Amino acid sequence: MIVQVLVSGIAVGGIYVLVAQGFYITWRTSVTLNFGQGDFLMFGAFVALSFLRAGVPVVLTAALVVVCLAALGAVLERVAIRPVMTAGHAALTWAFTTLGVGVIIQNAAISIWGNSSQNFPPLFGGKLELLRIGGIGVYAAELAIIMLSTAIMLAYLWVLRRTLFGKALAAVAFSSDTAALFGINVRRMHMLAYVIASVLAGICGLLVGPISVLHPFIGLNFALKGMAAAILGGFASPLGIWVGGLLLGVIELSSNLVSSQFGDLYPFLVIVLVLIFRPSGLFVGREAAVDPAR
Amino acid sequence: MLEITGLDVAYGPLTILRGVSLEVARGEIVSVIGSNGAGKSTLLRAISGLAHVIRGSIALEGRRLERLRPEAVAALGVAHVPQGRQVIPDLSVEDNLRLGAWRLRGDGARVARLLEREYARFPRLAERRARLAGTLSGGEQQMLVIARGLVMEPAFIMMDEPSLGLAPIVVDEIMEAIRRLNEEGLTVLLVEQAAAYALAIADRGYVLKNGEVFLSGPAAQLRDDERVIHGYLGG
Amino acid sequence: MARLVRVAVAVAVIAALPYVFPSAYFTHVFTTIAYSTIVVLGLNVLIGFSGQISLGHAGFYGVGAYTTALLSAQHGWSLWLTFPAAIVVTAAAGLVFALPAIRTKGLYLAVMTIAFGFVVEILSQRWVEFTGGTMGVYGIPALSWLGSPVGAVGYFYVVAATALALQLLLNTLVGSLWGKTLTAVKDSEQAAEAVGIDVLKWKVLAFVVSAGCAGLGGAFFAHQNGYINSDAFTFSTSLFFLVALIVGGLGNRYGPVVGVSVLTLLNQLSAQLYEYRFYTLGVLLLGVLLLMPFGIAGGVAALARRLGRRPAPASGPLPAAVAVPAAAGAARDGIALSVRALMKHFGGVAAVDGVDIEVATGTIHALIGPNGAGKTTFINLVSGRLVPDLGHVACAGIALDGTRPFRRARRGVIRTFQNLQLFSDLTVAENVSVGAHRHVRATTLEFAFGLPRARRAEAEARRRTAALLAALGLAGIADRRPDEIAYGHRKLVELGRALAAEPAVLLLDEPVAGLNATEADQIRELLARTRARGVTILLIEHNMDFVMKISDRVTVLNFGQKIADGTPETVQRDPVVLEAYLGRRYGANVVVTRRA
Repeated sequence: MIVQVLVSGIAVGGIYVLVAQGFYITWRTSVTLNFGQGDFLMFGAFVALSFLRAGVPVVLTAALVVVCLAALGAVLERVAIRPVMTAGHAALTWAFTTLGVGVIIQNAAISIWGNSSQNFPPLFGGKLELLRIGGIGVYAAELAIIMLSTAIMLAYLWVLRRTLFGKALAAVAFSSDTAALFGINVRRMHMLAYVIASVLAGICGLLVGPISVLHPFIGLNFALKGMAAAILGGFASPLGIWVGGLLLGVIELSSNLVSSQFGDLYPFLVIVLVLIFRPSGLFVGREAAVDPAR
Repeated sequence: MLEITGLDVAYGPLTILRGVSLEVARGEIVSVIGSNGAGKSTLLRAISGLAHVIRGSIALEGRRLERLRPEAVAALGVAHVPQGRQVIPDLSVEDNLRLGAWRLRGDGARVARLLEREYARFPRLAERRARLAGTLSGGEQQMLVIARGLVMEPAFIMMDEPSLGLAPIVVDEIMEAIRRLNEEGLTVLLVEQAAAYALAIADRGYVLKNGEVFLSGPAAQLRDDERVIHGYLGG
Repeated sequence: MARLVRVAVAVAVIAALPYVFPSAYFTHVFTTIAYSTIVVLGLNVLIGFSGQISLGHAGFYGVGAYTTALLSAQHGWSLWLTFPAAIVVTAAAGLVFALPAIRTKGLYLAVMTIAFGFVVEILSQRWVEFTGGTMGVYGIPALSWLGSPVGAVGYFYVVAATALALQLLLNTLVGSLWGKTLTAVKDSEQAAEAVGIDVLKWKVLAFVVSAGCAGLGGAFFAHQNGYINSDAFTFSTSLFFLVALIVGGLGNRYGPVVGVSVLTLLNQLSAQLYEYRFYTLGVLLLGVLLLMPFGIAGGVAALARRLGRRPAPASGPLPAAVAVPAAAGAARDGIALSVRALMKHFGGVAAVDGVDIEVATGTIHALIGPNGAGKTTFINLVSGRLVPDLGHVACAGIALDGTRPFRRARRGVIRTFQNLQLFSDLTVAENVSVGAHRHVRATTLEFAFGLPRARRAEAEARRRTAALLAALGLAGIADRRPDEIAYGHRKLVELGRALAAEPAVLLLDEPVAGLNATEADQIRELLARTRARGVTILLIEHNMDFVMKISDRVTVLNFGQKIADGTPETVQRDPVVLEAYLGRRYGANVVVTRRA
């Protein structure tokens, strides 16, 4: 039973990790993030749903979701981030504009797919298929999510740590002026960061579909938990975020075990408590590269 | 090679530079000295496109720079080594250098050659190529940022206070390296607060005071000119 | 007089509405607009005037609604009791939330408020024994007067009258010194602390006020339909309040009523476009922020200002021989500022490394040194913005160690900023008035109701400000905003704000940076007059002509250490100083002769 909770918690946490990694990359490069990230996730899920129902194979669906969300991410940066990063706007204006875009996306989803819950067709042999691994029961879908989210997270880290592009992002994060002196196109980097974040959200949507309720209003919930994962991890390192997200998932499912009356209350209480007592994250040590409490 | 005329540069509501004119001929080392707050860093930032030019012109071999974005200025062969040893601390020495060669990133072989050339020039960096840049000493970091600027084989390099915060022996080493580079044909615009170091290797110098050119002339003359001190400490 | 006319017009409009639009539907809409306005008026205090944020205000709204609903429906309390109870409980909730929350800012505060909103939403949904969950609370009594229910129209009048009263109260508050102080906190916390404002206390106060308003609005909401459930307290509700405020005009007095009205009416109109009506909120939010960031009311106000704008005069000479107001509380003689063994390290590097300085009362002491010598860090340590690793700071013999910046300011240690931290939303006169904060004794309620002590404080501030503006030659631009005036004038305003506090010790960070020779001379003259009044001045500067002419004593720092200390002439000739600035060779063997 405990292992069951652990596994499910890690699966759910894996989603939060991916959402949070999206926050991380845009925060690092431009000290902004997409408050509508959860709505992007939801939209990705619905887009995937439509394609799957039309008979498109899973892999192609995934590719289409990536393309679609990448475009959305580029539009978001252009419309909601870049115009408000000039001196004439208040410091958190980007929070409101991205929130606005998120609401618009939510309404688009309602228009296209209606506002009731939808059933997502099984991706990996069905949620109910119980596998036996070492004598412990695990749902196939959850296992798939754990593996995939870990794989994506590793790929993400690989891009950040091993490719020149990822290092250029680190340079922009450190000082956009210095990066510009190397000839790095800082504006394009900001846009690419948003494209990556949105693609991550879209992939999350695809993964989340089978294990979660799917309706247009799930967005904010995911965004908030993704932010919690990022905060727990200190906004400073992808590894910290990974641990933070998984921890959050496990806390969420454990609290459901203890008392399911209040559902998501406990993760949110945890968020509030962490913000009050340990705003720099649970992993003291490395100073946060950029202080979010500004 | 570089000609600046009547330059006014702003930072927000402040006018930092007023009517500054200077020139750097090909193959020279020109030093711009002056107390802090005089506007020396702003001058370099204006040239490389990071600061806002209100009035005046900056021309590199006839090509006007003052409206260009930093990426475009860099593409013209102008290297700017900014103040404060801006190494990317979480990246290795090698990665920092590779970023310096960002514009050539498609051409792996050429980049490798350019990196090797810098390693040959600065053996200490070669020894530490895998180390994180943040763990290097001050002098090594200064060498790294200079090498990073040189990687793209610029015709013209600008350095902002390379001696800042370094021990005199280390500064001597850095200045020596700069002199050697100049002998190989590199044109250098060197901004320094410590006039002694800057004037020791320069051909000509300008003294900035409160945003304006206060004195200028051959370095040998400035070295013995008492008025330079007044440029710093008033009186 | 104009004010009375405006109030009369508002009353007339409110009275007429149910007759011009006699249907029950419209009365319901108008009532909704009225209590939503109450909520957003409070939100405006929080976001528009104190510069914080709340994306979870539906939480406070819900607390107020449930308090009155449960107390009246389930415990039979009279509405005369439940309404105040709702306000008090919600305000208390605001306090409990704010105390830990205000130390966070920006993104983190936003996330905390969203989480708070979610917690209230979940509790209202799931704590069924208490709140009835999605089934809600039934049988909430309607408002009645003398035994019979006031009816829908009567209720509308009550709510609208309350909203009007609140608007007037807030107008008074915002227009008073209280309001200017809150705006100062929003514009620059650092500068506010530097004149003695307890920034944390003010931020909590803003939260409490805005929570109380939300609770009152929620209470009115609860009694409108006799029924509430958890559907009303979702993030969408919080978003509605926020968008209404932004659309109406953040920080504008009438933003709330304009925004709520527009948004509600748009919602009603767009009900026709059935499918597309949902887009209104998101499109409005995005559109307004990109195209009309000041909102409707704010845009109108900005336009009016710009149309009435005349070009601001350039800096002129200071009026001759006008006395700078006296400094009270300065030690008559002796040491005004004493710093001993001050040390501050940043990650292994000593920014300030064991520095001793004594500044005699009534003198001007300059702190100079090459780039990175530690001068600004030093000022930050003395003003309290940074905590030293070691060392002591005392003003007129009283130790300042461990006290926060605003307390030091209240003791008379006032600083200015290198990069000018003026309050951008306040006029020149208001900037200077806020500087006198440490002498103001009146409380929030006194300001809200215009009680005598508050009015005396305002009169005193006005008098003091007028005197200073005259002395600084700024009287002609007293009602301009900082972004409309010349840079030289802005420096004078910041100095004026510091002088309004009647400092014992003035810490000036690059007072003449960016000024031309004439303007620098003006400041020099002003500082000389200030010194003549007994104020002690410690300044950082790079402009050596200025420093050498005005200073009684000069201390030179390099690599965080004191390398020289003496009169300007001594320091100018000191080989150690020359070497620090110009390099080794200059120190070694150059002989400097003084210019005749």
